[in-house]
Amino acid sequence: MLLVAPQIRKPTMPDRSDAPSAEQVEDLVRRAQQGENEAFAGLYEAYYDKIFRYAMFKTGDTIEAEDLTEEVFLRMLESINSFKWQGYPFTSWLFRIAHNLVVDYYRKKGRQKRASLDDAMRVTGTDDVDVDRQMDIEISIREVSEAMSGLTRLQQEVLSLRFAGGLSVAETAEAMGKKQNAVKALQHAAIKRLRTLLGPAMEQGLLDRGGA
Amino acid sequence: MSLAIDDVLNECIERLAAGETVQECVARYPDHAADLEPLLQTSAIAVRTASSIAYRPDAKRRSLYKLMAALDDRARAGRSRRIGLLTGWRGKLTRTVAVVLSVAVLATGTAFGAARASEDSVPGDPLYAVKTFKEDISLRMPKSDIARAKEHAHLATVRTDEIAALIDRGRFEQANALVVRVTYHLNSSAQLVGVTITANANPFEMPAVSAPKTRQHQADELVSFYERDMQPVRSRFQRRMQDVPEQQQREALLMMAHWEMMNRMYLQALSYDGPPHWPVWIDARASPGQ
Repeated sequence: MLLVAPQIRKPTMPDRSDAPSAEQVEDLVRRAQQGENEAFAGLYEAYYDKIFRYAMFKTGDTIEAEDLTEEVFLRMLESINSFKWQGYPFTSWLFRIAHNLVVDYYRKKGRQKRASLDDAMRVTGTDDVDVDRQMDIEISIREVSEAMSGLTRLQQEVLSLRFAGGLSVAETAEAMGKKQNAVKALQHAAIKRLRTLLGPAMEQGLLDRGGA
Repeated sequence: MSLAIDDVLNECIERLAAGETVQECVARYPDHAADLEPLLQTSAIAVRTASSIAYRPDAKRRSLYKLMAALDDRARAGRSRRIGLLTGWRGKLTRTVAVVLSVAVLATGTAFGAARASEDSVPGDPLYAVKTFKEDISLRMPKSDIARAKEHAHLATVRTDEIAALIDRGRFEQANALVVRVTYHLNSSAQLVGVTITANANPFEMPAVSAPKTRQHQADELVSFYERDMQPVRSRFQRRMQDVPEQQQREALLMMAHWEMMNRMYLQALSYDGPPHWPVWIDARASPGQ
């Protein structure tokens, strides 16, 4: 007789194992271009999580990230008929929309610095994670958030697309309009810089190192 | 050298995402171990941080609903343009306003294309979120207690139809999860006419009615509404049960029995007219169809 709370995703690596196959995406896009509701909903289901994480990484604010994510899909709806299969994946096209919206967001808001992620982020699976563990995660979030703001815009972008968006290097390269080698170099430089910025926190053992 | 480490680092990040540990990655590239290890530790922290970000399910549902409203709005605008009814006024509306209008149209009870298309959806279908969001909006609209009680009762039958459809598709786990929702809707419905059904610790006793009804005529009205609403659902449920593969029949029958028991509890509780805190006894002789 008890109500059951809505299920919340458990923490997972942002891999691409649960992503639809290229053929499935192609089918969904084709049907969406014909105006099929279910295909739009399928694309939404497939990409909402990734776009939201990306938006959170970029804005650090749940409400802003939700609004941006919603706007990404509304833009997708408006312009999906202009998408052509020309050798680059749909994911890159969608994240390019997301990127452009984030750029607009900063331009309009005049925000130079990313807001703090710590109070806005939601830690998943809180019902079966002990309090100490949850606090470790929250500290990690705060530290990484602060460190990310010390990266260049391009470095932030590459890490957001790779780690939050879960894009491959090829997809990231397409989304950023760069060569794959350039993305790998940017990624290397970004992680190296992040390491330096996170160094004190890592030395103090403040970061969640489970599984590292 | 620089390009090589870029490639190695990238390869290892992919492996981390696939579940490999930092140590395992480093062991693959002993020549780069000294440079690689700190970079991978940092990557692992960033990956885990990103993984800990989770969306709010309600926000996701609401947003899908707006997307579907916008899609419907676009389709209607396209149709209107084709028959020459619009002369550009729509262009003066921002898309946001158009979407809000579409959502408002739905909130007042007019189903749009996506909402209609979602009516037959079940958990796991892309449009299911649209269906449940529409229900939530409807439940939040101002209305009388009896209207809300009927709505909850109706939603219990909607969930039952979904259970039957899920059993039909062999998705027993999802069907089982929905049984809780049926209980929730029935309890909510009963509460709105002054009946609170509480679970007993003893599984062989039926739940007790913890308060007497204060609105007997509404309870009676609800009983007849629910019995009428439930009847076709029960028939569909029973028809579908006949097609369940033999190895899954026991599980399906248990689920059906559970559902029947919940129905009887609900109907008996609504019909019960005794003192408070008395258990409701199920009349085992009553046929499911009655």
